[in-house]
Amino acid sequence: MINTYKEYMQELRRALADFDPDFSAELLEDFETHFTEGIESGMTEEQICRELGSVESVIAELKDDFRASSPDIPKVTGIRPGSSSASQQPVTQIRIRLFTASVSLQGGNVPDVLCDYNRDDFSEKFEMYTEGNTLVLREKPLSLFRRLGIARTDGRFSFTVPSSVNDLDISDTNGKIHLENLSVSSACVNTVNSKISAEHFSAGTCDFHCVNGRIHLEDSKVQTLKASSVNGPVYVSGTCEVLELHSTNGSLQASADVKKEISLSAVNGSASVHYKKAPGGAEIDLSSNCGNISAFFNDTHLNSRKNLRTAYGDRELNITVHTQNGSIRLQEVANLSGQE
Amino acid sequence: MNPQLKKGVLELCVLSQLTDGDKYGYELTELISREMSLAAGTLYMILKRLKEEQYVETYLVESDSGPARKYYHLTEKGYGYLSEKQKEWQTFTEMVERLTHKGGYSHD
Repeated sequence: MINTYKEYMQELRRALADFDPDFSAELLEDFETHFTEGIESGMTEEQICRELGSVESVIAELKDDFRASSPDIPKVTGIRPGSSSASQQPVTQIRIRLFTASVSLQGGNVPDVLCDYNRDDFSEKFEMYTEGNTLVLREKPLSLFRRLGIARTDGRFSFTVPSSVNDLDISDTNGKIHLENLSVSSACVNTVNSKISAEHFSAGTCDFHCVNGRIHLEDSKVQTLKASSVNGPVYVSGTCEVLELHSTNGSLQASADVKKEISLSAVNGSASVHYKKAPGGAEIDLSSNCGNISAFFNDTHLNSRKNLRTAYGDRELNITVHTQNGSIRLQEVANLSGQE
Repeated sequence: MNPQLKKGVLELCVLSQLTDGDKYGYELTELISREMSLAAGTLYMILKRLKEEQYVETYLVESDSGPARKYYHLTEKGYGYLSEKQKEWQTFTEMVERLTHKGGYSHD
């Protein structure tokens, strides 16, 4: 238990050692003055230590308000909306954590990441910095009132992204996420109460997830695409090797040219797949607890209740569709252009 | 009191205290930490952040007896921010009032 001025200040100095010296100098001064004033007003060092609280809790408060992982707190790097990132290394990864603002990312022929924000409260609500090759955009922790949903939700970020960016890691609680004209290796996109949309988007692996919103991917060329929504529909069109869609309370719709695997699973929603005719044949497994199943493939039309399992050709493509309470419609098409 | 709840209203309290005149650090932290039984140390962190955000600015006043005192002053920007927080607090308390007041909103 620290109860002398000397011990307290020593402990505090040690805890602040990793922080920017200019930044911590002022804080140390504040605490020193507090001791002096306290002693002058008749308190003992022990009482003052107790009043100030443990150095641990003080530092915890500091880390809560300022990003604490880098020694140059709270200096923000040269990145600001309207400017290009000032880092030496090219940005290869973008990490975004937002609560209220929406964000859209567009690929462009730019040398560096450009960011635009539509309101004038950027420095009050957000921080943006680079960590090595990663560009991080973070909305600061919400005050009590914002947490209650009284926040303004019309902040909008718009990024223009160069080809050096390979990975996207985006999480936005209440704001929309839109991706356009991008080509990346991996994308992990999450929202709780809003939608995810993408257009002319290509990637190696994608993981899209939303809770109360829809996912709409148009003209997506992805090797492994996983999209899931809890209370919302999922719509995908494009080309994939492996396509996995899931929805708990929403419909699933895929219109895609898939090479290896289509897997759709819905609890309370219908599933509809238009897939491009697989030259190597397909293995089809459709099941619905309470719904109609209708399948058109290989010049055949089959209807069923509950179950449909069949295969044709060399079974190169695996199609599995399951819904608890919804109908399933499978349609093989010769080509997908113009198809919904 | 729930620490999360406390944290949310601290900004409001600190800034409000400055509306009736500038106050120096010790004066401000004593006032608030005693009233809210709160670690005074954390208040210095909050003040630091409010200064970084330019909601408050500081200046030193030399004193004959003792160290120079650092006074905190609420800026224009700080006033704006404070009134936003006051409105939010107002909305919040009204909402809680409605929900906790017996014979308030009825459910259909």
